[in-house]
Amino acid sequence: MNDANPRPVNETVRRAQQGDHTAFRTLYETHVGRVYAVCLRLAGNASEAEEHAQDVFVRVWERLGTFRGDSAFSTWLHRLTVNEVLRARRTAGRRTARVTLAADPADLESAPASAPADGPAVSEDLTQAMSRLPEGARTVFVLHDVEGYQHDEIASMLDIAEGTSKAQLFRARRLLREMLGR
Amino acid sequence: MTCAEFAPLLDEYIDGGLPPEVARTVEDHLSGCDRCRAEVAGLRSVVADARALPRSVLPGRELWTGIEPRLAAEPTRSAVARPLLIRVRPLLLFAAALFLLLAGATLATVYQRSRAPMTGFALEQRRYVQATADLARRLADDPGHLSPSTRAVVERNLAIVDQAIREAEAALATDPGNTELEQMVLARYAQRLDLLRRATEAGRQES
Repeated sequence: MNDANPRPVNETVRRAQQGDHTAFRTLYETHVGRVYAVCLRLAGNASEAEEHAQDVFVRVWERLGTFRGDSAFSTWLHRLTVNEVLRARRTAGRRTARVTLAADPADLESAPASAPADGPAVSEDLTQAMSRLPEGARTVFVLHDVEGYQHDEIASMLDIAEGTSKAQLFRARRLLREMLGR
Repeated sequence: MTCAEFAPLLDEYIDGGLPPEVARTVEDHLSGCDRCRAEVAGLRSVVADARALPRSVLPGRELWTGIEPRLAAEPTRSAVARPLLIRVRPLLLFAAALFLLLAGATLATVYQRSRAPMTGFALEQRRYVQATADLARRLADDPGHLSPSTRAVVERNLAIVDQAIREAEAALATDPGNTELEQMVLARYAQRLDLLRRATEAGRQES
């Protein structure tokens, strides 16, 4: 991720760093689907995910000056997205305000940009099942099995022990297996 | 070993994280246990579905309208300008003071150009830059007379703090938005500021 030599910064990113709103809009349109997918799976419901995604792009704008091209912009953005969602969730007020929303899986993944290999039905079943997981188990499952982070990275992000991350994954996979009848 | 004893190993077995000899033990058990074999198949199926989820999902409504009004006039630029301040290692404290004065003036210009209010880390970062520039002005106005040994101590400590700042900034650049790293960066800025303040005081006492 962190190359010895920074990559040349993409022209659109460079223009956005100079304060060009049009360039930033282009970045938004290019990346909103990826950012929203991460927010949706971590949050478990669409309304919270939309709010997170908006917060992420405001945060990106504030921090564009710190992007130096050490990694691809998409990698930098992905990590910022995960951090922003986790940061927001640590705020107790926001979390309690959203408990009721998280219980409703019906509004998930309204418009997938591309269908998975097994077709939309499988994706929808799994996504809805994921939204019914307890928050800790869902977070670890999304970070590990969907986004590909390792347990040591997840432990660091969530400020938990690596063993706790493994235990949450164990729990999440078995709950999902049961919900999906696998 | 019983099925219950094998259960905690199955996730790492699926993920390929078990040492070869342990993985072989699990495989031996699976070959004779329908229940554990079914569990492994079910878990593998869940993991495969998770990995096949679409990487991109479009939101059900346009989000840009809620983003654009919240954008400041310009994105944060201080991090682009800051390496000029941080990376130059002065030979002497007074050279550092002169450099900080010049850099402070440049950064003050950047600060005035950015018109919108800022919050959180970016705001703290900017306060640090301002405070450093103010201190540099005071050092230039009243440099005092540090002894060579005191100068050497100050230079050595500045070098250590600057290295720590570079490392923390590099970590933050690869993990943007990480609040713990932001706190680490700010703490080191504060450490640098404190060091310069104490150097100023020491110069006055020695003069």
